[in-house]
Amino acid sequence: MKYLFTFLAITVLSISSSFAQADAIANFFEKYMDDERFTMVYVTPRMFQMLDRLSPDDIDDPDADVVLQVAKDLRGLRILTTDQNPQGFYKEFNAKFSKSNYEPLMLVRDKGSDIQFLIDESNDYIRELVMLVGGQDEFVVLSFTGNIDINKVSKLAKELSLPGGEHLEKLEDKN
Amino acid sequence: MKTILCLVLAIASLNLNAQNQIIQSFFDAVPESEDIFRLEISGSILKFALGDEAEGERKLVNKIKAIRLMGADQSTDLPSYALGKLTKGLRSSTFEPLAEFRDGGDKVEFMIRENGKYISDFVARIQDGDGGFFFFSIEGNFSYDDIQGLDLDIDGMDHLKKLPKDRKELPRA
Repeated sequence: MKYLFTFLAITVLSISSSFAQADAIANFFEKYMDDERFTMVYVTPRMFQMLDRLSPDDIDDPDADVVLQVAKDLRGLRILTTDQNPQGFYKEFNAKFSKSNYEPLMLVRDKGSDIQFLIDESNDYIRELVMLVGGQDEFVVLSFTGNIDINKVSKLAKELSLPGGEHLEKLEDKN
Repeated sequence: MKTILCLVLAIASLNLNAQNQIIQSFFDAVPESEDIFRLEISGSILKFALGDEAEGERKLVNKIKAIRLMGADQSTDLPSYALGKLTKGLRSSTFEPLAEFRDGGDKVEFMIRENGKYISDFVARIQDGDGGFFFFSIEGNFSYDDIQGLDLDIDGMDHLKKLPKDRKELPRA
């Protein structure tokens, strides 16, 4: 019985921790999404579900083909970026965000900026890709959720000129 | 940005149903003014505007009930109570956000409202840091099979094409 309680306690704590991390990103996003110091992009799961139902023939835009191919596996996108007090916001986010539930994919130090890529992987597929950039000139927190192919999200970011998206090209180099 | 807009407009060509009191109330509340551009097109007029050579679009247009556009160089030209009521109505549980983009004072948001398995309204709202305001809504009754693209030769539709392809070109304060 003692072991059962211990097992249940560990399970509950693990689940709580996982939700806490998802909440950490969501809470930070919610805190600053209306702050004019930030550039914000928010694409809801509903939008991706709808994109999933479109075919490239429906859209008179050649770039849409690439977007649709990638978007069909995505379920959410959130980006916050700012060039005002970027190191302060980077520290604030890192203080609230524990990386224990994420696997570090890559860390790049480039011209005074730290660029971190972390993934939440389950059953051999990536559920979430998080990118953090902290430097003298910019702070970026980016989160893709869904069934993620890293090469494809990098292409998506390039096609849509997503803020901070240029850093995702470093993932292509890794692959 | 243009790519996103094309995709979002294609999504808007879905099953749309039901009257839209929130949006119609907003349009009714805004008085006529030289400083405010507005366009309200019923589905009946769209059918006439198509012409005989537009058979491809006719099936889609037949399902449009109304298209509404409103724009102002300064949102202060619009009654604040009307804007507030519109915002409150759009944030109600019946409207679902699709996407939102903000860069400083510039903001673009897309929303839908569903009625059963159909989408009853599609809304786009744009505010720029200089106070400019633009609102677009489409009400109708589409299915995915009806999607032919919204490429209607009607005065006012070209306002949508003014949105830049690249977000970096969004107007800045």
